[in-house]
Amino acid sequence: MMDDTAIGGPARGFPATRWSPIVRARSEDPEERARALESIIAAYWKPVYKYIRARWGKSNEDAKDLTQEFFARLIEKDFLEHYDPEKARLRTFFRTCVDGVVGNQDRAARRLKRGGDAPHLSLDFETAESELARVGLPAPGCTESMEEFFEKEWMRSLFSLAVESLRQECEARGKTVHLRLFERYDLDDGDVRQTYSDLAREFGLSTSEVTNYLAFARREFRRISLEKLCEATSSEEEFRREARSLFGVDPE
Amino acid sequence: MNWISDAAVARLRAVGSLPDLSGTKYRVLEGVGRGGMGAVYLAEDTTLGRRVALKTLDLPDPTGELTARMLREAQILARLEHPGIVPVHDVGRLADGRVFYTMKFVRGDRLDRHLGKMSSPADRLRIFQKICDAVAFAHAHGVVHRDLKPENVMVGTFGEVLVMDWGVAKVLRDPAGRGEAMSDSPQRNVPATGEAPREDGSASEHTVVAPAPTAHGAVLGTPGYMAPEQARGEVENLDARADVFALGAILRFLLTGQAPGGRL
Repeated sequence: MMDDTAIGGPARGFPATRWSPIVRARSEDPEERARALESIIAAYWKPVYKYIRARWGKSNEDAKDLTQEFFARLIEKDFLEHYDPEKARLRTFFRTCVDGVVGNQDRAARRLKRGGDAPHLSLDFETAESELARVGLPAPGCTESMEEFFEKEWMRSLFSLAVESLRQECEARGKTVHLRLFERYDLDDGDVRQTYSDLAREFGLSTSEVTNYLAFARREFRRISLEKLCEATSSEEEFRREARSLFGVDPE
Repeated sequence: MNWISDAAVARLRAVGSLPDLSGTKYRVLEGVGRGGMGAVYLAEDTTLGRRVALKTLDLPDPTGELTARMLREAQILARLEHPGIVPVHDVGRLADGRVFYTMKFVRGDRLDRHLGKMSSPADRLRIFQKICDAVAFAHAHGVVHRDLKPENVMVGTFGEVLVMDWGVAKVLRDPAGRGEAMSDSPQRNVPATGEAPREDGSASEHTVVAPAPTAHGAVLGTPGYMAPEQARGEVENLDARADVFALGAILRFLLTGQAPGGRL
Protein backbone atom coordinates (compact mmCIF):
# COMPACT_ATOMS: atom_id res chain seq x y z
CA MET A 1 0.00 0.00 0.00
CA MET A 2 1.36 3.34 -0.96
CA ASP A 3 1.93 5.67 1.94
CA ASP A 4 0.51 9.05 1.08
CA THR A 5 2.99 10.79 3.36
CA ALA A 6 5.72 9.81 0.95
CA ILE A 7 4.05 11.09 -2.15
CA GLY A 8 2.70 14.43 -1.09
CA GLY A 9 5.99 16.27 -1.18
CA PRO A 10 7.35 18.15 1.77
CA ALA A 11 4.86 18.55 4.57
CA ARG A 12 3.72 22.13 4.65
CA GLY A 13 0.60 23.68 5.97
CA PHE A 14 0.77 26.71 3.73
CA PRO A 15 2.45 27.64 0.50
CA ALA A 16 5.81 29.23 -0.02
CA THR A 17 4.37 32.51 -1.14
CA ARG A 18 5.45 35.35 -3.31
CA TRP A 19 3.71 38.11 -1.53
CA SER A 20 1.63 40.73 -3.15
CA PRO A 21 0.75 40.10 -6.77
CA ILE A 22 -0.31 43.73 -6.67
CA VAL A 23 3.29 44.76 -6.22
CA ARG A 24 4.35 42.41 -9.00
CA ALA A 25 1.57 43.73 -11.22
CA ARG A 26 3.19 47.14 -10.93
CA SER A 27 6.59 45.73 -11.78
CA GLU A 28 8.78 47.30 -14.45
CA ASP A 29 9.58 43.80 -15.67
CA PRO A 30 6.91 43.13 -18.33
CA GLU A 31 7.06 39.36 -17.89
CA GLU A 32 6.67 39.57 -14.14
CA ARG A 33 3.86 42.05 -14.55
CA ALA A 34 2.10 39.89 -17.15
CA ARG A 35 2.28 36.81 -14.92
CA ALA A 36 0.86 38.69 -11.97
CA LEU A 37 -1.96 40.17 -14.01
CA GLU A 38 -2.73 36.80 -15.50
CA SER A 39 -3.16 35.33 -12.02
CA ILE A 40 -5.35 38.18 -10.90
CA ILE A 41 -7.52 38.05 -14.01
CA ALA A 42 -7.86 34.26 -13.83
CA ALA A 43 -9.24 34.47 -10.31
CA TYR A 44 -11.46 37.49 -10.77
CA TRP A 45 -12.89 37.67 -14.27
CA LYS A 46 -15.80 35.31 -13.72
CA PRO A 47 -16.91 36.91 -10.45
CA VAL A 48 -16.65 40.32 -12.11
CA TYR A 49 -18.74 39.25 -15.11
CA LYS A 50 -21.38 37.56 -12.96
CA TYR A 51 -21.45 40.50 -10.60
CA ILE A 52 -22.09 42.94 -13.44
CA ARG A 53 -24.93 40.73 -14.64
CA ALA A 54 -26.41 40.42 -11.16
CA ARG A 55 -25.76 43.79 -9.57
CA TRP A 56 -26.32 45.98 -12.59
CA GLY A 57 -28.80 43.83 -14.48
CA LYS A 58 -26.76 44.14 -17.66
CA SER A 59 -27.34 41.93 -20.69
CA ASN A 60 -24.67 39.34 -21.35
CA GLU A 61 -23.31 41.41 -24.26
CA ASP A 62 -23.06 44.54 -22.14
CA ALA A 63 -21.56 42.55 -19.29
CA LYS A 64 -18.92 41.14 -21.62
CA ASP A 65 -17.98 44.64 -22.77
CA LEU A 66 -17.86 45.95 -19.25
CA THR A 67 -15.77 43.03 -18.05
CA GLN A 68 -13.31 43.62 -20.88
CA GLU A 69 -13.35 47.30 -20.04
CA PHE A 70 -12.62 46.67 -16.41
CA PHE A 71 -9.66 44.41 -17.03
CA ALA A 72 -8.38 46.59 -19.86
CA ARG A 73 -8.16 49.40 -17.33
CA LEU A 74 -6.49 47.09 -14.88
CA ILE A 75 -3.85 46.26 -17.44
CA GLU A 76 -3.40 49.66 -19.06
CA LYS A 77 -3.99 52.21 -16.38
CA ASP A 78 -2.77 53.07 -12.97
CA PHE A 79 -5.78 51.34 -11.51
CA LEU A 80 -3.82 49.48 -8.91
CA GLU A 81 -1.95 52.61 -7.86
CA HIS A 82 -5.09 53.63 -5.99
CA TYR A 83 -5.33 50.42 -4.06
CA ASP A 84 -4.43 50.59 -0.38
CA PRO A 85 -4.38 47.17 1.31
CA GLU A 86 -4.79 48.91 4.64
CA LYS A 87 -8.24 50.10 3.67
CA ALA A 88 -9.88 47.17 1.93
CA ARG A 89 -9.42 43.66 0.71
CA LEU A 90 -8.47 43.36 -2.93
CA ARG A 91 -11.80 41.70 -3.63
CA THR A 92 -13.70 44.63 -2.15
CA PHE A 93 -11.55 47.11 -4.06
CA PHE A 94 -12.23 45.34 -7.34
CA ARG A 95 -15.96 45.24 -6.70
CA THR A 96 -15.98 48.96 -5.95
CA CYS A 97 -13.98 49.67 -9.10
CA VAL A 98 -16.38 47.58 -11.16
CA ASP A 99 -19.23 49.68 -9.81
CA GLY A 100 -17.31 52.76 -10.87
CA VAL A 101 -16.69 51.48 -14.36
CA VAL A 102 -20.30 50.47 -14.88
CA GLY A 103 -21.79 53.51 -13.24
CA ASN A 104 -19.71 56.19 -14.88
CA GLN A 105 -19.62 55.27 -18.52
CA ASP A 106 -22.21 54.60 -21.09
CA ARG A 107 -21.68 51.89 -23.61
CA ALA A 108 -20.88 54.09 -26.56
CA ALA A 109 -18.22 55.94 -24.62
CA ARG A 110 -16.71 52.67 -23.55
CA ARG A 111 -16.46 51.40 -27.08
CA LEU A 112 -14.99 54.66 -28.25
CA LYS A 113 -12.47 54.73 -25.45
CA ARG A 114 -11.35 51.15 -25.83
CA GLY A 115 -10.58 51.75 -29.47
CA GLY A 116 -8.38 49.48 -31.50
CA ASP A 117 -5.33 49.29 -29.27
CA ALA A 118 -7.10 48.33 -26.06
CA PRO A 119 -6.18 44.84 -24.85
CA HIS A 120 -8.83 42.27 -25.50
CA LEU A 121 -8.81 39.27 -23.24
CA SER A 122 -9.79 35.84 -24.36
CA LEU A 123 -12.37 34.98 -21.74
CA ASP A 124 -14.82 32.11 -21.91
CA PHE A 125 -18.02 34.09 -21.33
CA GLU A 126 -20.15 31.24 -22.58
CA THR A 127 -19.08 29.08 -19.67
CA ALA A 128 -19.56 31.94 -17.22
CA GLU A 129 -23.06 32.46 -18.59
CA SER A 130 -23.95 28.78 -18.27
CA GLU A 131 -22.68 28.80 -14.70
CA LEU A 132 -24.80 31.82 -14.00
CA ALA A 133 -27.81 29.98 -15.38
CA ARG A 134 -27.18 27.20 -12.88
CA VAL A 135 -27.02 29.42 -9.81
CA GLY A 136 -29.46 32.01 -11.12
CA LEU A 137 -29.29 35.73 -10.57
CA PRO A 138 -30.23 36.83 -7.06
CA ALA A 139 -33.92 37.73 -7.05
CA PRO A 140 -34.92 41.29 -6.22
CA GLY A 141 -35.27 41.55 -2.45
CA CYS A 142 -33.10 38.47 -1.99
CA THR A 143 -31.42 38.48 1.41
CA GLU A 144 -28.10 37.60 -0.18
CA SER A 145 -26.24 40.85 -0.60
CA MET A 146 -24.27 41.60 -3.74
CA GLU A 147 -21.14 41.49 -1.65
CA GLU A 148 -22.00 37.93 -0.60
CA PHE A 149 -22.82 37.02 -4.19
CA PHE A 150 -19.48 38.36 -5.38
CA GLU A 151 -17.64 36.55 -2.60
CA LYS A 152 -19.38 33.27 -3.36
CA GLU A 153 -18.55 33.50 -7.06
CA TRP A 154 -14.98 34.46 -6.27
CA MET A 155 -14.69 31.37 -4.09
CA ARG A 156 -16.15 29.19 -6.84
CA SER A 157 -13.67 30.69 -9.30
CA LEU A 158 -10.74 30.08 -6.97
CA PHE A 159 -11.73 26.47 -6.33
CA SER A 160 -12.32 25.85 -10.04
CA LEU A 161 -8.79 26.99 -10.77
CA ALA A 162 -7.43 24.85 -7.96
CA VAL A 163 -9.32 21.76 -9.09
CA GLU A 164 -8.10 22.27 -12.65
CA SER A 165 -4.51 22.53 -11.44
CA LEU A 166 -4.98 19.46 -9.28
CA ARG A 167 -6.34 17.59 -12.29
CA GLN A 168 -3.31 18.53 -14.39
CA GLU A 169 -0.92 17.63 -11.59
CA CYS A 170 -2.52 14.25 -10.91
CA GLU A 171 -2.58 13.36 -14.57
CA ALA A 172 1.04 14.37 -15.00
CA ARG A 173 2.05 12.27 -12.00
CA GLY A 174 -0.04 9.25 -12.90
CA LYS A 175 -2.37 9.68 -9.96
CA THR A 176 -5.64 9.56 -11.80
CA VAL A 177 -7.23 7.23 -9.24
CA HIS A 178 -6.48 9.76 -6.52
CA LEU A 179 -8.15 12.43 -8.63
CA ARG A 180 -11.19 10.32 -9.48
CA LEU A 181 -11.74 9.50 -5.82
CA PHE A 182 -11.53 13.17 -4.97
CA GLU A 183 -13.99 14.03 -7.72
CA ARG A 184 -16.42 11.34 -6.64
CA TYR A 185 -16.28 12.04 -2.93
CA ASP A 186 -15.77 15.78 -2.72
CA LEU A 187 -17.03 17.24 -5.99
CA ASP A 188 -19.92 15.13 -7.20
CA ASP A 189 -23.43 16.05 -6.12
CA GLY A 190 -25.16 12.71 -5.90
CA ASP A 191 -28.44 12.21 -4.11
CA VAL A 192 -26.81 9.67 -1.81
CA ARG A 193 -23.49 10.42 -0.18
CA GLN A 194 -21.05 7.62 -0.89
CA THR A 195 -19.02 6.07 1.88
CA TYR A 196 -15.34 5.11 1.76
CA SER A 197 -16.47 1.48 1.61
CA ASP A 198 -18.66 2.21 -1.41
CA LEU A 199 -15.72 3.81 -3.18
CA ALA A 200 -13.40 0.96 -2.21
CA ARG A 201 -15.78 -1.53 -3.84
CA GLU A 202 -16.25 0.63 -6.91
CA PHE A 203 -12.54 1.21 -7.48
CA GLY A 204 -11.34 -2.23 -6.38
CA LEU A 205 -9.31 -0.80 -3.51
CA SER A 206 -9.15 -1.39 0.21
CA THR A 207 -10.80 1.19 2.44
CA SER A 208 -7.37 2.18 3.74
CA GLU A 209 -6.19 2.84 0.21
CA VAL A 210 -9.23 5.03 -0.40
CA THR A 211 -8.39 6.90 2.79
CA ASN A 212 -4.78 7.39 1.73
CA TYR A 213 -5.48 8.36 -1.86
CA LEU A 214 -8.16 10.79 -0.82
CA ALA A 215 -5.88 12.27 1.83
CA PHE A 216 -3.26 12.92 -0.84
CA ALA A 217 -5.69 14.57 -3.25
CA ARG A 218 -7.22 16.69 -0.51
CA ARG A 219 -3.85 17.83 0.77
CA GLU A 220 -2.77 18.79 -2.72
CA PHE A 221 -6.06 20.57 -3.31
CA ARG A 222 -5.56 22.59 -0.15
CA ARG A 223 -1.97 23.45 -1.06
CA ILE A 224 -2.95 24.55 -4.56
CA SER A 225 -5.94 26.51 -3.28
CA LEU A 226 -3.74 28.42 -0.89
CA GLU A 227 -1.29 29.16 -3.69
CA LYS A 228 -4.14 30.48 -5.83
CA LEU A 229 -5.41 32.47 -2.88
CA CYS A 230 -1.99 33.97 -2.42
CA GLU A 231 -2.05 35.05 -6.04
CA ALA A 232 -5.45 36.67 -5.54
CA THR A 233 -4.63 38.68 -2.43
CA SER A 234 -2.52 41.72 -1.91
CA SER A 235 -0.54 41.10 1.25
CA GLU A 236 0.41 38.42 3.72
CA GLU A 237 -2.07 39.82 6.19
CA GLU A 238 -4.91 39.70 3.66
CA PHE A 239 -3.87 36.22 2.60
CA ARG A 240 -4.04 35.00 6.18
CA ARG A 241 -7.37 36.66 6.76
CA GLU A 242 -8.82 35.18 3.60
CA ALA A 243 -7.36 31.75 4.34
CA ARG A 244 -9.02 31.82 7.71
CA SER A 245 -12.28 32.91 6.18
CA LEU A 246 -12.06 30.28 3.45
CA PHE A 247 -10.86 27.27 5.42
CA GLY A 248 -11.39 28.30 9.02
CA VAL A 249 -7.73 27.85 9.87
CA ASP A 250 -4.93 30.28 10.40
CA PRO A 251 -1.87 29.82 8.18
CA GLU A 252 1.25 29.09 10.18
CA MET B 1 -13.23 23.20 -16.36
CA ASN B 2 -16.02 21.42 -14.52
CA TRP B 3 -18.83 23.13 -12.71
CA ILE B 4 -18.48 23.34 -8.93
CA SER B 5 -21.85 23.55 -7.22
CA ASP B 6 -22.60 25.47 -4.04
CA ALA B 7 -22.69 22.16 -2.15
CA ALA B 8 -19.30 21.19 -3.58
CA VAL B 9 -17.87 24.60 -2.62
CA ALA B 10 -19.04 23.96 0.94
CA ARG B 11 -17.44 20.50 0.92
CA LEU B 12 -14.18 21.87 -0.50
CA ARG B 13 -14.06 24.50 2.21
CA ALA B 14 -14.42 21.72 4.76
CA VAL B 15 -11.73 19.71 2.98
CA GLY B 16 -9.39 22.68 3.08
CA SER B 17 -9.83 23.00 6.80
CA LEU B 18 -8.70 19.43 7.42
CA PRO B 19 -5.34 19.25 9.18
CA ASP B 20 -2.25 17.98 7.42
CA LEU B 21 -1.47 14.72 9.21
CA SER B 22 1.54 13.78 7.10
CA GLY B 23 4.31 12.50 9.34
CA THR B 24 1.81 10.93 11.72
CA LYS B 25 0.18 7.55 11.70
CA TYR B 26 -3.23 9.13 11.24
CA ARG B 27 -5.29 9.92 8.15
CA VAL B 28 -7.98 12.50 8.49
CA LEU B 29 -11.42 11.50 7.25
CA GLU B 30 -13.67 14.47 7.98
CA GLY B 31 -14.41 17.25 10.38
CA VAL B 32 -16.93 16.43 13.08
CA GLY B 33 -17.09 19.49 15.28
CA ARG B 34 -15.61 22.77 16.33
CA GLY B 35 -15.41 24.16 19.82
CA GLY B 36 -14.15 27.20 21.64
CA MET B 37 -10.49 26.74 20.75
CA GLY B 38 -10.20 23.50 18.83
CA ALA B 39 -11.63 21.40 16.08
CA VAL B 40 -12.31 17.68 16.21
CA TYR B 41 -11.86 15.37 13.25
CA LEU B 42 -12.65 11.78 12.53
CA ALA B 43 -9.35 10.15 11.68
CA GLU B 44 -8.01 6.69 11.05
CA ASP B 45 -5.14 5.23 13.03
CA THR B 46 -3.40 3.43 10.16
CA THR B 47 -1.31 1.26 12.47
CA LEU B 48 -4.15 -0.16 14.48
CA GLY B 49 -6.77 0.23 11.78
CA ARG B 50 -9.27 1.97 14.01
CA ARG B 51 -11.10 5.24 13.89
CA VAL B 52 -10.29 7.88 16.46
CA ALA B 53 -11.30 11.43 17.24
CA LEU B 54 -8.44 13.86 16.69
CA LYS B 55 -8.55 17.26 18.33
CA THR B 56 -6.32 20.16 17.41
CA LEU B 57 -6.25 23.91 17.85
CA ASP B 58 -7.88 25.98 15.16
CA LEU B 59 -7.09 29.39 16.58
CA PRO B 60 -3.87 31.36 16.33
CA ASP B 61 -1.80 30.75 19.42
CA PRO B 62 1.11 33.19 19.36
CA THR B 63 1.77 32.88 23.09
CA GLY B 64 1.36 29.12 23.32
CA GLU B 65 -1.30 29.44 25.98
CA LEU B 66 -3.96 27.54 24.07
CA THR B 67 -1.47 24.83 23.21
CA ALA B 68 -0.71 24.49 26.91
CA ARG B 69 -4.39 24.27 27.65
CA MET B 70 -4.91 21.56 25.06
CA LEU B 71 -2.02 19.52 26.38
CA ARG B 72 -3.29 19.89 29.89
CA GLU B 73 -6.67 18.65 28.73
CA ALA B 74 -5.02 15.56 27.22
CA GLN B 75 -3.04 14.97 30.39
CA ILE B 76 -6.13 15.30 32.54
CA LEU B 77 -7.99 12.83 30.35
CA ALA B 78 -5.05 10.44 30.52
CA ARG B 79 -5.19 10.33 34.31
CA LEU B 80 -8.96 9.93 34.46
CA GLU B 81 -9.49 6.34 33.37
CA HIS B 82 -13.21 5.82 33.85
CA PRO B 83 -15.98 4.38 31.65
CA GLY B 84 -17.74 7.74 31.77
CA ILE B 85 -14.75 9.78 30.61
CA VAL B 86 -13.51 9.62 27.03
CA PRO B 87 -10.10 7.92 26.96
CA VAL B 88 -7.16 9.72 25.33
CA HIS B 89 -4.86 7.64 23.11
CA ASP B 90 -2.02 9.80 21.91
CA VAL B 91 -0.52 13.29 21.73
CA GLY B 92 1.56 14.70 18.88
CA ARG B 93 2.26 17.61 16.58
CA LEU B 94 0.99 18.29 13.08
CA ALA B 95 3.30 19.19 10.23
CA ASP B 96 2.43 22.85 10.79
CA GLY B 97 3.46 22.64 14.44
CA ARG B 98 0.05 22.51 16.04
CA VAL B 99 -0.45 20.09 18.88
CA PHE B 100 -3.11 17.42 18.57
CA TYR B 101 -4.35 14.57 20.66
CA THR B 102 -6.43 11.58 19.75
CA MET B 103 -9.15 9.95 21.79
CA LYS B 104 -11.83 7.33 21.47
CA PHE B 105 -14.30 8.06 18.70
CA VAL B 106 -17.73 7.91 20.29
CA ARG B 107 -20.69 7.28 18.06
CA GLY B 108 -23.80 8.81 19.44
CA ASP B 109 -25.55 12.06 20.27
CA ARG B 110 -24.83 15.04 22.41
CA LEU B 111 -27.10 14.96 25.42
CA ASP B 112 -28.89 18.14 24.36
CA ARG B 113 -29.79 16.46 21.06
CA HIS B 114 -30.54 13.11 22.66
CA LEU B 115 -33.21 14.41 25.02
CA GLY B 116 -36.09 13.73 22.64
CA LYS B 117 -35.08 10.08 22.37
CA MET B 118 -35.50 9.45 26.08
CA SER B 119 -39.11 8.75 26.82
CA SER B 120 -39.19 8.15 30.54
CA PRO B 121 -37.90 10.16 33.51
CA ALA B 122 -36.23 6.96 34.68
CA ASP B 123 -34.12 6.85 31.49
CA ARG B 124 -33.13 10.45 32.02
CA LEU B 125 -32.20 9.84 35.64
CA ARG B 126 -30.11 6.84 34.67
CA ILE B 127 -28.11 9.05 32.35
CA PHE B 128 -27.80 11.69 35.02
CA GLN B 129 -26.52 9.05 37.45
CA LYS B 130 -23.80 8.09 34.98
CA ILE B 131 -22.75 11.71 34.54
CA CYS B 132 -22.55 12.08 38.30
CA ASP B 133 -20.44 8.91 38.57
CA ALA B 134 -17.92 10.27 36.05
CA VAL B 135 -17.77 13.69 37.68
CA ALA B 136 -17.42 12.14 41.15
CA PHE B 137 -14.50 10.07 39.86
CA ALA B 138 -12.83 13.21 38.53
CA HIS B 139 -13.38 15.01 41.81
CA ALA B 140 -11.89 12.06 43.69
CA HIS B 141 -8.79 12.55 41.53
CA GLY B 142 -8.62 16.26 42.21
CA VAL B 143 -10.05 17.45 38.88
CA VAL B 144 -12.92 19.90 38.42
CA HIS B 145 -14.48 20.01 34.95
CA ARG B 146 -15.78 23.64 35.14
CA ASP B 147 -17.84 23.43 31.93
CA LEU B 148 -20.43 20.74 32.50
CA LYS B 149 -23.46 21.11 30.28
CA PRO B 150 -25.54 18.87 28.01
CA GLU B 151 -23.43 19.79 24.97
CA ASN B 152 -20.41 18.28 26.72
CA VAL B 153 -22.03 14.93 27.44
CA MET B 154 -22.22 12.21 24.81
CA VAL B 155 -24.72 9.39 24.84
CA GLY B 156 -23.33 6.52 22.83
CA THR B 157 -25.26 4.17 20.60
CA PHE B 158 -24.96 1.43 23.22
CA GLY B 159 -26.20 3.64 26.03
CA GLU B 160 -22.79 4.61 27.31
CA VAL B 161 -22.53 8.11 28.74
CA LEU B 162 -19.28 10.05 28.44
CA VAL B 163 -18.32 13.44 29.84
CA MET B 164 -16.36 15.31 27.16
CA ASP B 165 -14.41 18.49 26.64
CA TRP B 166 -12.13 18.92 29.60
CA GLY B 167 -10.43 21.92 28.02
CA VAL B 168 -11.14 24.29 30.90
CA ALA B 169 -10.79 21.71 33.68
CA LYS B 170 -8.83 22.62 36.78
CA VAL B 171 -6.52 20.33 38.69
CA LEU B 172 -7.02 21.05 42.38
CA ARG B 173 -4.34 18.62 43.43
CA ASP B 174 -2.53 15.78 41.80
CA PRO B 175 -2.18 12.34 43.37
CA ALA B 176 1.50 12.94 44.12
CA GLY B 177 0.62 16.05 46.09
CA ARG B 178 2.24 18.46 43.62
CA GLY B 179 -0.68 20.82 43.55
CA GLU B 180 -1.26 22.11 39.99
CA ALA B 181 2.06 20.80 38.76
CA MET B 182 0.43 19.56 35.54
CA SER B 183 -0.01 23.07 34.29
CA ASP B 184 3.66 24.03 34.62
CA SER B 185 5.14 22.89 31.32
CA PRO B 186 2.76 20.59 29.60
CA GLN B 187 4.53 20.87 26.22
CA ARG B 188 7.84 19.40 27.21
CA ASN B 189 7.14 15.81 26.21
CA VAL B 190 5.29 16.38 22.96
CA PRO B 191 7.07 14.83 19.99
CA ALA B 192 7.86 17.00 17.00
CA THR B 193 5.49 14.85 15.01
CA GLY B 194 3.00 12.28 16.19
CA GLU B 195 4.66 8.82 16.07
CA ALA B 196 2.38 7.04 15.98
CA PRO B 197 -13.95 12.19 17.65
CA ARG B 198 -16.42 11.54 18.92
CA GLU B 199 -19.22 11.71 16.30
CA ASP B 200 -20.16 15.16 17.39
CA GLY B 201 -16.84 16.65 18.28
CA SER B 202 -17.47 18.14 21.70
CA ALA B 203 -18.39 21.47 20.25
CA SER B 204 -18.65 23.86 23.14
CA GLU B 205 -19.58 26.83 21.10
CA HIS B 206 -20.93 28.80 24.03
CA THR B 207 -17.99 28.22 26.29
CA VAL B 208 -16.13 31.31 27.37
CA VAL B 209 -12.44 30.42 27.33
CA ALA B 210 -9.71 32.31 29.14
CA PRO B 211 -5.98 31.90 28.61
CA ALA B 212 -4.36 29.20 30.69
CA PRO B 213 -3.48 29.01 33.50
CA THR B 214 -6.60 30.84 34.49
CA ALA B 215 -6.11 34.20 36.12
CA HIS B 216 -8.29 35.72 38.79
CA GLY B 217 -11.19 37.61 37.24
CA ALA B 218 -11.22 35.48 34.10
CA VAL B 219 -14.66 34.08 33.42
CA LEU B 220 -14.80 30.69 31.81
CA GLY B 221 -17.66 28.27 31.53
CA THR B 222 -21.10 28.54 30.02
CA PRO B 223 -23.73 31.04 31.13
CA GLY B 224 -26.61 29.25 32.79
CA TYR B 225 -24.46 26.35 33.91
CA MET B 226 -21.88 28.41 35.77
CA ALA B 227 -21.96 28.63 39.55
CA PRO B 228 -22.23 32.22 40.83
CA GLU B 229 -18.60 32.28 42.00
CA GLN B 230 -17.53 31.07 38.56
CA ALA B 231 -19.58 33.76 36.83
CA ARG B 232 -17.89 36.35 39.05
CA GLY B 233 -14.50 35.14 37.90
CA GLU B 234 -13.37 33.95 41.32
CA VAL B 235 -11.18 31.33 39.75
CA GLU B 236 -9.10 30.53 42.82
CA ASN B 237 -12.24 29.82 44.82
CA LEU B 238 -13.62 27.28 42.40
CA ASP B 239 -13.83 23.72 43.54
CA ALA B 240 -16.03 20.67 43.10
CA ARG B 241 -19.05 22.69 44.16
CA ALA B 242 -18.98 24.55 40.83
CA ASP B 243 -19.48 21.21 39.06
CA VAL B 244 -22.26 20.28 41.48
CA PHE B 245 -24.04 23.51 40.53
CA ALA B 246 -23.72 22.60 36.84
CA LEU B 247 -24.99 19.09 37.54
CA GLY B 248 -28.08 20.64 39.09
CA ALA B 249 -28.62 22.67 35.93
CA ILE B 250 -28.20 19.54 33.80
CA LEU B 251 -30.73 17.71 35.99
CA ARG B 252 -33.18 20.54 35.44
CA PHE B 253 -32.58 20.30 31.71
CA LEU B 254 -33.09 16.54 31.71
CA LEU B 255 -36.34 16.71 33.63
CA THR B 256 -37.91 19.79 32.09
CA GLY B 257 -36.25 20.11 28.69
CA GLN B 258 -35.46 23.68 29.63
CA ALA B 259 -31.94 25.00 29.78
CA PRO B 260 -31.16 27.41 32.60
CA GLY B 261 -32.18 30.92 31.68
CA GLY B 262 -34.92 29.58 29.46
CA ARG B 263 -32.62 28.44 26.64
CA LEU B 264 -33.43 25.10 25.19
